[in-house]
Amino acid sequence: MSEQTIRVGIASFAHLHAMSYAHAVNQLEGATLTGIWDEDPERGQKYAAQFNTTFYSDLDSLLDAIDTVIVASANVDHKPLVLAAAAKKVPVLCEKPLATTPADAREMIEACAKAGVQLGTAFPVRYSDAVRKLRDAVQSGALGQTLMIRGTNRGTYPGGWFGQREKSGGGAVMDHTVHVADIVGWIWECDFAEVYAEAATRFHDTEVDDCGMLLATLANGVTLSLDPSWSRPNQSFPTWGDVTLEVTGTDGVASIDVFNQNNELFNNQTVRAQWQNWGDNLDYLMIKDWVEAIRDGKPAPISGEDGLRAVLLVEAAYRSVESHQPEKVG
Amino acid sequence: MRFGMIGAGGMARVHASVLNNIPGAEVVAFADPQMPPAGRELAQQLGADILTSPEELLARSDIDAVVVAVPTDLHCDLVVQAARAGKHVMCEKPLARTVEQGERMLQEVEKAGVKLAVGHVVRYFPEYAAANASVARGDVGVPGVIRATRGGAFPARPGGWFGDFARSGGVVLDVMIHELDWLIWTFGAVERVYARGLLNAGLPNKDMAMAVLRFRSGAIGYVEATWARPSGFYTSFEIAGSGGLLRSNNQNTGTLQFSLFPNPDGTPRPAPRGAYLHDEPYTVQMRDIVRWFKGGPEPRTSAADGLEALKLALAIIESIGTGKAISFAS
Repeated sequence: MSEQTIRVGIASFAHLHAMSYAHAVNQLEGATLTGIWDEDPERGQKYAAQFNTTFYSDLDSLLDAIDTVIVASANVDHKPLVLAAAAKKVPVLCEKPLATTPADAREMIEACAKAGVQLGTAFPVRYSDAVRKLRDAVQSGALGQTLMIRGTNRGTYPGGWFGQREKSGGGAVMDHTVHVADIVGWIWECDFAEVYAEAATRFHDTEVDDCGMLLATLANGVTLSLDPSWSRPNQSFPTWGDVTLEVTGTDGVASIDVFNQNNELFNNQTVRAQWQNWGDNLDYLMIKDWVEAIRDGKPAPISGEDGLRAVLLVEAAYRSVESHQPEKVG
Repeated sequence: MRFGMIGAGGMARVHASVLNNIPGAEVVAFADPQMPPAGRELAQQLGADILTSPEELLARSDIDAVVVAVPTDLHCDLVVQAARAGKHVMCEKPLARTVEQGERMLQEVEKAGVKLAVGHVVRYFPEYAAANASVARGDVGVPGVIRATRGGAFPARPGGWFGDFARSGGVVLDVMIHELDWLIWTFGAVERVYARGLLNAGLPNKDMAMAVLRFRSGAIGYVEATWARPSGFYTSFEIAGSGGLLRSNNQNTGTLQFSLFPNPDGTPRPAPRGAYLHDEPYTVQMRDIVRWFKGGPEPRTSAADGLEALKLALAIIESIGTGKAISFAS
């Protein structure tokens, strides 16, 4: 382990997770937030000031000044930004979904492999203690043989570019299938074989799907149901959403509710009840692990291939939405 | 920093395991005249010496600090001996069995120029720490009524001392003191207390107490502690203020639950490890204490705070015994 300080850059604050990542970098010992690039200079300057760092109007100049970059742009901009980082031989941690199509994801993986730099996908839910302990329980056989899995990643409507197809590549199914897909793929160490999906626009005035429902089959034959809907009422729901999983095995059932560690606040000024989460800061744990991997020259803790596995499920789900039949994944 | 463990019971083993994972700290010896098998096992696992008397441990010049985790009535003598031997001390809560003992401990550590930390770990439980910060931010406005409950089954152990009031002080001094420390930390000093409990009800292996507090701020408090449940462990709090309500209940904040079929032979299947947090509270507390012993900032709870909580707990016991409300001089 070296004592070297890792210089981190963030490319785009289009995705609000960038705020949380910037906080994490600033909290970390052994890392410094060297600069921010953003396609919107006004936004970039604002966040550079807020996080006490430098705004770069030129992406390559930022890439020349850092050891690793976090890409937190709109979905369709992941590819050009990751390719730019690979061209400069800068390891890159990319917001999920890795890409809006499997072809783009593969191109990004290949470019980083060719450049000899790590490509990571931002799946912070893996750092949940509940997810880790569930993985231990499943892999040790404590539940017997897994039979069926129920998953949810429901949320409020994020608005903005998430509702613009040319920026997002899709709606709720694109945004919220991938977290659960990733932890299931990680816990069972298995790819997806087939998926049936419905999608619709039922809640908001938006050009993308804001709700959906998936029934996927893993390569090991286990069924996963997954609700990725933006179905939590934006005005009144006490938190942004959830990540849950319930596993039925031959020897019993295990349930996780990743964001259930909350104090409940009812405040007369805000009217809506609020859940103040006191659980672990999963973004912080993810960024810490990433920075340590870069410092120590280790493989990406959560790889581009992991990101691709989730993108493949999304792509097949949208095909199923069109065909009204289950579709092969991949 | 080299630690000696005085006591090898349940809490001593928690603290030793935690210390073993803190960089720059190690456990080098255990002293317990009645060394339990689990203590012997952990000592061997940590490569720590097994000594028969605290005197032997305190005489060792290679030990910088000690953890005192023994029955409550023994805290004072051992902390005083440790201080006179020039060791920093982490003492399990409650600070002592009587106010006189607690005051003597504070005087002796000051005279010896060593540091005394007390394990009021609830300040490190994130829901309680978050609530403290939330109240300080004004999320509930001016606090009006505060309720807090804690407890579960009686801690029956072979050779146990918890049921011996003269040694443990019963459920008030052993359990309720957690809430009392948090309440004073969050809402300030208490002016008056009235309490009722099962202390003199002649029920073996059961104790329970209910106390009404009046804070100097004018706020009203209710605290309940129990060793009268058949099983489980329950905590809750609710803070109602002029502008809002904040609440939490540990029965609603789980992130991982198991429900398992019995083994084929009908015996119950043991549940796998549960989930909680990446950094659990005992670790965060001990990290703060080690840092303080090495010259860093003071941990969240001072020995003087421990003495304040002790005074309030003993007043509650007095009120249960006399049937009178107890007022504190301002």
